[in-house]
Amino acid sequence: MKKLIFTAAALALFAGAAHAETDGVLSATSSTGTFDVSATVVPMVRISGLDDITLTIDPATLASNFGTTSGRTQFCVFSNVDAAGAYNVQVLGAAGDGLGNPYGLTGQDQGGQLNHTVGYWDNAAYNSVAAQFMRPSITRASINTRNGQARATTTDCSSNGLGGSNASINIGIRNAEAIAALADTYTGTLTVVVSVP
Amino acid sequence: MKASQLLAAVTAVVLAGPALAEETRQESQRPHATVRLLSAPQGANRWYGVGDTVSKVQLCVESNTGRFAMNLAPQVGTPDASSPGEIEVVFATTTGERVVRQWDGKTDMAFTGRVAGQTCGVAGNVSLEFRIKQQNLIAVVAGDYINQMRFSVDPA
Repeated sequence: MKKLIFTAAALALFAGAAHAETDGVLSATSSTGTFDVSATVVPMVRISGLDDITLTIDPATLASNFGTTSGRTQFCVFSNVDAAGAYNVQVLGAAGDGLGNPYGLTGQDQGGQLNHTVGYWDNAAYNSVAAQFMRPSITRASINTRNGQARATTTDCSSNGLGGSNASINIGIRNAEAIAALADTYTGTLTVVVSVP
Repeated sequence: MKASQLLAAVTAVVLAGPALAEETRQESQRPHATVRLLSAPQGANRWYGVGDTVSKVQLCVESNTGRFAMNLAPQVGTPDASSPGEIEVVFATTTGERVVRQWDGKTDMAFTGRVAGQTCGVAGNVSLEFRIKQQNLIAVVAGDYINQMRFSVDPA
């Protein structure tokens, strides 16, 4: 309902503006009139710069990874919705165990499944403690810029010192899951959907 | 009224006749200019992320000197800080003048031009184009940005 009220207000503003122009009057000195110049920028979001993540899990990795093998990608989310760059995000992918490992990869040779987690952080410098724990069925709302980041004012985050990215995703494969899985190459595709709140 | 008084009054009127005509002639020769707005942007100028936005205004300017000075004054002198920072303004006349200015949306602008004859076609003889470039639009927060411009024309 809030959104509907906002839209009505915007239309009312322009309805008034459409009649604002006036002609100049005939005068022996000078002639004066008015007109409006306007632009309406609609709310928009865009994600760009996602990279593939490749992990190798071997005895050395298992011995030194503190319980989870992780990989991450940094990318850019542009949002002009408000000054904070607010947006909603959902990460879609094959289902995992539905519990602590919500996403799953499929073994190419043996067809098994390797479950994993997805963490989302709205800063390029991933924070494993504060990150959002994602599930395929859940859209996280009101993500925005944090930790002093400025809103991206270009669609590729090349502005405001962002260096091309202002968000990150971390993939985590717990050692228990990796050890339980058959030796194989597991692949999957995650789809990151950002939307206007 | 005596005959002599009547003669004096008639003489005065007769003498005043050429003087009044001369004053009227001088009045018509005094520099003057008028402007009419033929077309202006109507309704919302919505932008969806691609290309520039352009608002065009067509005017009919008449000046008995053949030259005029146009002043443009924004009525909102301090736009929202997040509004598009730079607007390209193109002033053009049918006599061949074309001036391009970068405008900050806050300050007054002045142009001078020439007009030929006293009549305008449907497209007028002076146009103003306000172009906001894509890179400036992508940088602002979503919303309605509007300013009212007051224009005046003086003979030059």
